[in-house]
Amino acid sequence: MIPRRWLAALVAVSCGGCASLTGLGRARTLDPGRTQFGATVELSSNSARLNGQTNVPWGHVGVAFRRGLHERFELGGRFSCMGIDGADSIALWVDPKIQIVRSPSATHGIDLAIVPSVGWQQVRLGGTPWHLPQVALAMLFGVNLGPHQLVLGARGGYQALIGTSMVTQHIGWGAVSIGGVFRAGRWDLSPELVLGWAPVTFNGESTADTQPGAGLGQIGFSFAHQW
Amino acid sequence: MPTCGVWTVLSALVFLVAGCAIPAADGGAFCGYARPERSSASAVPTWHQDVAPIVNAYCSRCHRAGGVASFSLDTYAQVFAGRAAVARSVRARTMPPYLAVPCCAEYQHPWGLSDEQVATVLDWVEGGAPEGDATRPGPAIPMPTAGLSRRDVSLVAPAPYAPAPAAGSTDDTRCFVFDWPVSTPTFVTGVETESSERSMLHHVIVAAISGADVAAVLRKDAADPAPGFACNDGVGALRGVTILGGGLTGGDFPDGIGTPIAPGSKIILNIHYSVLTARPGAMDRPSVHFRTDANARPAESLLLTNPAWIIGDAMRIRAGDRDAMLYYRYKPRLFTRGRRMLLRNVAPHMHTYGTSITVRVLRANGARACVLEIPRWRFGWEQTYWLANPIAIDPEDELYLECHFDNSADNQPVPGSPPRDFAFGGNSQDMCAAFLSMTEAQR
Repeated sequence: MIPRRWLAALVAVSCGGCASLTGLGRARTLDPGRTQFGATVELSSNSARLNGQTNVPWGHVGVAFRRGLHERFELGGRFSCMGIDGADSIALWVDPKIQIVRSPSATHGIDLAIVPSVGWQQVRLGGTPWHLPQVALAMLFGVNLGPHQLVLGARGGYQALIGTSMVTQHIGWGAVSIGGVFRAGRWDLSPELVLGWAPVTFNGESTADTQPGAGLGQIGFSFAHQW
Repeated sequence: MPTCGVWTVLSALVFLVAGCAIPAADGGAFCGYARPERSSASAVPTWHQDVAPIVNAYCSRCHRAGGVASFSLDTYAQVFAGRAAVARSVRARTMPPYLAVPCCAEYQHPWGLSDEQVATVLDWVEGGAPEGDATRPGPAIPMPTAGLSRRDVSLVAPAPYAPAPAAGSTDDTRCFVFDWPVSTPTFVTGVETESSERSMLHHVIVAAISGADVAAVLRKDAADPAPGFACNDGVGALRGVTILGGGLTGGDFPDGIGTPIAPGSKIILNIHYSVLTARPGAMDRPSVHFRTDANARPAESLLLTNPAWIIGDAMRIRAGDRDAMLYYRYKPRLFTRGRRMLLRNVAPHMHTYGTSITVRVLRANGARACVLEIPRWRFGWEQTYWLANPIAIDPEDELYLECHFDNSADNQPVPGSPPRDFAFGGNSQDMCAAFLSMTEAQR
């Protein structure tokens, strides 16, 4: 018999690596020399079906930095964290963005970019921390609507769950996203929804009521200032 | 370099890059058992003067005519006939099956033999097991009073149940459902479970279900024609679950501690049967008894284990490993919320591969307090240990859990079967956990 509170912690750990999936911005690299600095608030619901449906709310706040280095290359980074007394998480990502298809105009046409990210996250629900080095590849498809952009995304990634006195776990995940980037002066405002799934297996006490995998729903809202 | 080596190195690098000290296993050693010299320099102990009081107090509770054990130890003749087995069991500390060692902490109602009592029994057997003078019996030892002082509520399964594990399994976890008959809000201040067939029990958990989950439980119960319903998935998925007690023994909760229970609740008796150890054709008709009071001091429960162990094969123990060790350090600030708590009881949990387990409190100042030490774990004798003196848990203290497993060919659940890797799971695998119960310290 597994108490519900424990399941909650479990799912939080197994999905904790799905941190900060939002906040990649437009499917269009910044023009060379342009810089963006912004912040993100993310709310997640992690869920698994293990002895019944269990949903765990999770959240992060983060900051992001991007700079256009070439017409088709932008370098970015994100830092996100969450913390209450007894449970905390921090994550770092490096997000190079590579333009595959670039509309001649930033106000119409379509853009396509990929973001091969490298990240690391630490999750603690007590004393012993878990570390999650991870890589992810996002493909962003943008439809330019004047100064705004509709962004559709597909992402996949891999993370290792490393801790003391345990065997390292290797976890893949996939996600799709829909979001918009709305220009207001020098500001980009970006609401985004990401739905993901990780084929995590739960070795213990598997029953007919237990299904492999953990789901993730994440709503992010970012704003970035450009100069 | 093997793959695991790469990940070990990577793990170390990650910890170093993160600027974290790797949380290490606690260096404290198990205090273990001792066989002291007898304190008295008298001659060989005799049955009537020395051994009978020990057997009557600690063995006859089960080993009596009509008891749950398969043979009686009521008379000198019976014990003399089985003296070799008695000596073997007592020396190995497998009987009486009270697993915690007294060198770690003092518990309420301990029913294990002291080192001196062990020595007395062994000296008696080795000295020829003399009967002694029946007219001069030794002083009686009070029986450990682990049991309810009152049975205010008693619930008995309506019919016997024959465990029926699924194909390929030796486990059957069953939930028996009872109506809670008290019509006013009350506190459960003691729990005791009974089984008519002790040989196949591994653990018993008593829980109360309330609210919307009552209907879900009743649906499951109605859908299963046998007594109770299959609950290999436990009752943890239900929202209105309150754990009232567990283990294979029971008694009053100390110091006025109690768990509130609402009218209209259902009681679930969650029993893990293992047919590995069952007698042929065994059936069980379990019952549960409660002491209740109108007022009590509420206790809070915590499960101590590494949640990550349940993911994939994170708790993997390699085939052939004779002493695999797992540990987990946990600072329970989510649970204590900055409060000073008093640790009241501990119920350890492992399966058949487990060989030893310990629970400690690691103080922020480097000191440690031993909560529980079981140097020779025995599957099937899981129980709750109430501390005689509650142990304070300050907000910066850590809880420490350490389990050892033997996955060699000599220690397989099915004797003769070849060892294979296992991880967190049912009886064909194992677990490493401890249930802790605490109350808030008085300000």
